Amino acid sequence: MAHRSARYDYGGDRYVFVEFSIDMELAENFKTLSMAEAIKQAHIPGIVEVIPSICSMLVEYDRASIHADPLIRRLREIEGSMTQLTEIPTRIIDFPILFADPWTTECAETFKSHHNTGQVPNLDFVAEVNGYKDRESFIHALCATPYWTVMVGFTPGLPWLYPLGVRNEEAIQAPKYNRPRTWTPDRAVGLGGAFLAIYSVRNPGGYQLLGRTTNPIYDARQRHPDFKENPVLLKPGDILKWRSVTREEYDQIWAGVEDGTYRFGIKPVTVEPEAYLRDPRGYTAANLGGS
Amino acid sequence: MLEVVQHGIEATVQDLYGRPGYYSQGIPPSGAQDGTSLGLANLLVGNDKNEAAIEITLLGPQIRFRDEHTIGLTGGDLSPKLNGSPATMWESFAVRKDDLLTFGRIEKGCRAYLAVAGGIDVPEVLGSKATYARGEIGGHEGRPLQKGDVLATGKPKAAAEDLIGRRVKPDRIPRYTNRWEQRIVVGIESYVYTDTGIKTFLTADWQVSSKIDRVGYRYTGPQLECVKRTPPFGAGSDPTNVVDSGYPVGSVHTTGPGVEPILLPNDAVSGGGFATIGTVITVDLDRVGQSKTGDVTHFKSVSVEEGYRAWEERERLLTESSIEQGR
Repeated sequence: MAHRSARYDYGGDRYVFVEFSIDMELAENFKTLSMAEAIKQAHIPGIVEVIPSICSMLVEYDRASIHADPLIRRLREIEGSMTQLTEIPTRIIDFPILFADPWTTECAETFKSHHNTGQVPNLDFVAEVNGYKDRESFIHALCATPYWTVMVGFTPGLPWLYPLGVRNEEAIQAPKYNRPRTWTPDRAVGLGGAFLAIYSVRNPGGYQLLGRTTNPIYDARQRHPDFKENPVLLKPGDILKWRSVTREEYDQIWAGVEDGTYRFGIKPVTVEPEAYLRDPRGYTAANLGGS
Repeated sequence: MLEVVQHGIEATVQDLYGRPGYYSQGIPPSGAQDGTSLGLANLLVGNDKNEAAIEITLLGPQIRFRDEHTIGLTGGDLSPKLNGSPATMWESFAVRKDDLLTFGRIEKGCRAYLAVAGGIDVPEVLGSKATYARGEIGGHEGRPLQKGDVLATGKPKAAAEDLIGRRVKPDRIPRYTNRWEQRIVVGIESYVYTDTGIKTFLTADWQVSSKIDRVGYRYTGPQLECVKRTPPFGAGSDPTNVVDSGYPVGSVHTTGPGVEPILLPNDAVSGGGFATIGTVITVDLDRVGQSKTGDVTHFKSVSVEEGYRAWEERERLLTESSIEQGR
């Protein structure tokens, strides 16, 4: 593991900020998640929460128990003791998606004037700017690429997703809207830059809209059995596998989600970051459902 | 019980410390935007300082009491009236069945707090009674109060005669103004600005815009000079774009080319791609919550230690020592 030290800074009087990189690199995200886990395992008195993001994290502390400078010293020790990236026990989760669905299409139509070219559905715009000859070949490529949850947040449970097994420059990318929409349906799947996101609640947004998934990622009322423990479904490190479904399948799955009979397809998996980084494409194909 | 006869702009059930521990899942702490005032309102009526009370923003609701209660009003002066006559602030008093509490002109501040002896009885969600409206959790059905809502109250901690006429000592009552100074710890991604840009930020008179909700406070003023750089891969094309990172509660960001700073209060979004210039110390968020459209804000650079001292001071303020028996 490269020994470039993290940068530490103060986040007001209740957070410490730890930054591994200012660039988007999966290796740096692995490091962030490894360190976040190591901090939790160290059970340092006074830590309220470790809040990892893409290549940095916030550590919230209780100033009655610990102050920033001693906490930073402890965090540096933990960082120093991390000689290699640890295995990440995580999950591969099936995400049925109806591409160019009626709800996000209606939304894109409403905000046509905010869009870069006015193309509706946005799916066709995204396929085009990424050089796919048609919608179908784009959908095929997307569903063959597992996506890694680099961060959860912005709104409750919203995952920021990055493709596994491809180099940065090979990632599917799209510009954000020229002007953000004032609303987006929940469960909309969007692309902005190289990141996919799923809108967890009806919210403003500027990502290109690709489709809508049947999996809620946030259940405030905790009604569905998979949300019994927690209103949020996803954690950093979760791997999402897109599955293109027809409108009929979508309706059928959604009915099951609503009455609690449909359970999410969740498979446990352990990711070895060092092995992944040696051969991202091969490792993803062999172990993480890439093709 | 209390009945909401008319709702105002935004009245929510809040507590003092909110819901810490879920920010990594995108769920902000929430809790009173002016914790000092909510805490003092609770103390007036004998409640624990972290008990649930009602936060009232700008245009207040109309509330009818369905039973006898002891109540306390603190925070911004939104001209509270009981059955049409001016109601006392910063001192607890009794209300009778069918009494009507209304609000009028916004005289000072932005948010008033109504505490009822026994507290507002709503269920705890993830360890707190605070409303987080965007996430539809906490408070009364996860949303601001609406006309027709009926709120239950808990059991008062003492007999009414012991709770009536308690008042906040005059020197402990926060002062409200139209010119605010908020103390900020500069850092995190302040490197996207030049020294001149930071200096502009710390010296300008920032106008509080009309966007002043619990998710974001926006300010208008000069443009901040940014460092010329190529934004990193995945960040976006504006000079203030960074690879998405966590946003501390209280953090300040500018958007686009260094304009319109936005401060994230207690219902903050937990992360995003705009550089954090710094983070306002926790207790000064109380004053942010009392600033309103048209006010002027000045950001003053302070050390983390000053934030700790201010917090300890507020903890001391929010004790029985700030209360005296009136008449």
